[in-house]
Amino acid sequence: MRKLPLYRYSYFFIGATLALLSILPIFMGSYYTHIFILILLYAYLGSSWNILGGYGGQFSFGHATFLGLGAYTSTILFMRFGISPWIGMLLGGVLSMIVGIFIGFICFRYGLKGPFFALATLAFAEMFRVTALNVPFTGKAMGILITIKGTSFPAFQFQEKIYYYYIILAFNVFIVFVTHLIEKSKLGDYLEAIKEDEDAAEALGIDTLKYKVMAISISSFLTALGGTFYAQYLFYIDPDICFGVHNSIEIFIRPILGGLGTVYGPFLGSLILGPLSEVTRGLLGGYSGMHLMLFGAVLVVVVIFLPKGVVGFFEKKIGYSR
Amino acid sequence: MAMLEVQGLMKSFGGLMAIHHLNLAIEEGEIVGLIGPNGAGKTTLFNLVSGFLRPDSGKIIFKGENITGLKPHVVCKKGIARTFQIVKPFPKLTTFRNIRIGAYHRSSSSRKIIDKKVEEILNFLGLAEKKKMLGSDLTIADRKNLELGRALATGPQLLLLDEIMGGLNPVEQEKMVNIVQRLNQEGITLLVIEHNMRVIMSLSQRIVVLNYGEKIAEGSPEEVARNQNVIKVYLGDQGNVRD
Repeated sequence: MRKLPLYRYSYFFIGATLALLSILPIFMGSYYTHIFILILLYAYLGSSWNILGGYGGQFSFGHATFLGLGAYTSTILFMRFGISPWIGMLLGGVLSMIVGIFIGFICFRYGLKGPFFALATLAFAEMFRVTALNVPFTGKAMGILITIKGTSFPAFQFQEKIYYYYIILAFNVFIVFVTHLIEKSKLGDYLEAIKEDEDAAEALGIDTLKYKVMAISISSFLTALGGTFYAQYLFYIDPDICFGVHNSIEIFIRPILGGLGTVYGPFLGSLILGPLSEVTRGLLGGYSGMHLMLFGAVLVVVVIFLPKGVVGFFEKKIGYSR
Repeated sequence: MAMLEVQGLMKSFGGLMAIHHLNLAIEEGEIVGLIGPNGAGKTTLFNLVSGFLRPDSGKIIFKGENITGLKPHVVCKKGIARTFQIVKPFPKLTTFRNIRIGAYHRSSSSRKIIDKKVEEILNFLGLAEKKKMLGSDLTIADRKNLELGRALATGPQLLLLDEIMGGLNPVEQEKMVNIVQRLNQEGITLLVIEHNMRVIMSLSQRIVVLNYGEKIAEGSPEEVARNQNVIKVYLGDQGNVRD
């Protein structure tokens, strides 16, 4: 099934890309490193989303929920209790996973599909945003400013951007590995079956509820880890930059552009969109939100001309079938 | 003890009685044909037995165990597999993967053993050469084949086939009849919905006739073909007017 000539070279491509990404920051100034950190961060978040949305076909419009939970958990633990954000990151992941399982169970148990599931997840993200806006514990609209302690690994703080670059690169290597594992496993096959036809999947003995909840739990856990990174990189969080709708959109647009349900789709999508939104921001800097309009336009083009994303386009070119 | 027993089954959709007080027993090793005019409740019965619908009342007993109201994937694991009248292949997956998805829960063993089992089924159905084709690229005959293959992969003891011959030409039908008979020889019990009378008469050891959700006749193909009620349902009342 996988004996295509190009496939044999894929390890070479992957290795070369990784090598290139590893040495890249040495030649880049702080500005370009920053851009690449954002590309990698959203590639990571998109990959987390992709497990539920891409492989499982359950289109979450509210992944900002999990990003925000990761960011708030580690930040609150760090600022109020002095707990290292690395530990906070894992605790945030667990909390996010519990919330993910709750949301998933409620939605899937009552058969919410397609746009209805999307709307429900959007509603949950908004609930968290409004809560964070009004609860003193989360700093209300003022948000939380992370005290800068200089370069310190336990505090997840670095003065040089290059450290963040390598951390988020490692996150990406990790999630590519996880996605590969899922794709090759029974879980991967089951998620694709659920995406294609849920009744047929049930008839073949698949507990569709269980596997959908499993997908959202993995996805929400991984997304929250990215949330902690996000907070530690920005040194500041508030309800809107964490739970805001724009984040949910930023997260899912990359895998859609790159290729839903593919290992490298989110990364490719991010590699294309990152510079594009940066350029628009530069050119039309005065108008905030211009890059989101651009995203909208890109989405329309992709849905019409590249329904399977960039990866799907290339797979078609080389005649690959999964 | 019958393999499958349906006792006093009732199901209505709004005011429409789809299944009305149905009793049915299927013995192990049988091929039972299920016929009846459109809307007689044949597919509804399949949906009830396979767990896609919950009955309003009545019991479904499989090998002595009450399976009424269980979810489809649980029913599947008990050993009942079904095909759909409107076939549901996973369009973007290859034939191979389509079948493999059914094969997992039976053998909790390694991927190698599962893949081997899938190959066996592909060979058995004559789909081996098409194992890399996508579900969406298959002909209708191959899709019906694939539908059967996936159901087989779950390792069923009782197989419910919903118009598996529909849309096939006579040569393809012949092949399918052959396949179904071989499955039966291998020990699988079959309940088959079919509209093609020639096929169902030659295939079934016993036939059950439904009309408006009620069983109006049951017996060997010859008995059923001679049954006045059945003739009336299929051909109308004309015969009696002359008397």
